[in-house]
Amino acid sequence: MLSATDLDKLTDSELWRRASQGDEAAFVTLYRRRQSAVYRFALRMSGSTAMAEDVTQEVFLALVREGGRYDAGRCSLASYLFGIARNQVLRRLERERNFAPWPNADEDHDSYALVDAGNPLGDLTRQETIDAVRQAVLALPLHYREVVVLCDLHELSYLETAAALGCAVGTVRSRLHRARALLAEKLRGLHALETGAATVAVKHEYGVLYEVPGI
Amino acid sequence: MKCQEFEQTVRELARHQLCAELMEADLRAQATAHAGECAPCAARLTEARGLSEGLCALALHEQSLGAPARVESALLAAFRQQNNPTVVPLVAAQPRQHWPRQHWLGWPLAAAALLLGLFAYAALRDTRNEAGRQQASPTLANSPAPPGPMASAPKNSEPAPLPEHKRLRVKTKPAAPRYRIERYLVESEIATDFLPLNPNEALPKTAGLQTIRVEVPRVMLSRFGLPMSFERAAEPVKADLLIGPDGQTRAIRFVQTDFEPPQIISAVSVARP
Repeated sequence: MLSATDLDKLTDSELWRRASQGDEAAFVTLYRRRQSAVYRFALRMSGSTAMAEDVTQEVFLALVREGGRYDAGRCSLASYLFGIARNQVLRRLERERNFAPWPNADEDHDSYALVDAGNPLGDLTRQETIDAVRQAVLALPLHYREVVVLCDLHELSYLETAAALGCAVGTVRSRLHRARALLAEKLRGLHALETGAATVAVKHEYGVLYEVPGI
Repeated sequence: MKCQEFEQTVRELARHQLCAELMEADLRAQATAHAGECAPCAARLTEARGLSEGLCALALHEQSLGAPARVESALLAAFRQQNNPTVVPLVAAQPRQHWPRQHWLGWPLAAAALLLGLFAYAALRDTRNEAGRQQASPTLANSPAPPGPMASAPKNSEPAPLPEHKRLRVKTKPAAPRYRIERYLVESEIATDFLPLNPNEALPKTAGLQTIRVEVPRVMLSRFGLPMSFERAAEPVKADLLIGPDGQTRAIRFVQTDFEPPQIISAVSVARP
């Protein structure tokens, strides 16, 4: 029996191999190592703490009951868990389509007043701005949201994200590019809404990338 | 590097500059050099950095979030049960049941379906009772009224049928339950219970008994306390006699058949002992 310190040094796959042989301590170590990421993924995808809690439980429950399906040669355990979590979230969001994906919609937009008008995305360190980014992420379409959450918030590589989502790396790249553009657009739109700015546009030699009319 | 290539690497460059994310050194040098020469791409890099800063701040802000301890307890119980099925978990590892938003109609619908089923059952039962009553009534009430003072007499001493709207709610019973009309396998025939001819004598066991179908004067109905239509007093009524092993008549039951023409069996007479 390994000590807790020794277990902490093991990789996810090793921990899971021991856990699948009935080592409870290995399972606990693995759970404590990965539960936060799974919970945060579900929370960022759904905007609901209750759903995030349910999804986290379902993900590890699936690992306990159907862990034999996991193939360490195909992807990392983290990607495998994110894949289960993603399916769970999508299923629940589909079932509860009326669930509010914009939990802070009632908040006023005073927080955006301090954003630099010349560079609306430049000052993104304040708490209010964090809320704005969270809202903007939640407002993305699901297939864009999931790549932003996995790549930009969980810092998974393209390869790991592709394994979690079950798609090609190129798909992840293109979706992420489009998702970030949408995200910037939404943030700029929120800023324009707040400041009453005129059209905000960034021109590029390949044309206008973003253009959001102000109010 | 061209602007199009720069656009494909701007995210990585921004994240590398912000949080030292790994990036190929050659590519990084080229992208940095292009941003120094191209103003729109430099603006694009600034914007990408701002966005990445916001996302990093959000990730950092929520880094401490995690599932509550009860989830771990439930999963541990499930894990123990999985590895030792004889252990009964104290905490069921099932997701918390939230009130399903889209399925809130389920219970009322189920209740409505149940009520509908009950009503349908009651209606079917009522219809059968009504059919039985209608089968019983021709003998008692459907004959043409004979002339004379008896014409104004009540046609039927049975309780009046309930209004249609009450039939589904009220369990219909005869007002004076002195006899019970039974349904038999023959759909067109109903009969009373066997009534002992001697009230002080219990009904005999079935061994060695015979049943004989006869027709008796209708007045026999009133002798056993059964309702009788005075308009049809002249018409006989069918009955089954229960004959004991000794050849004595022990009991009688009155039978009503709707579709068979009356058969006259005149050889048998029934009288109370």
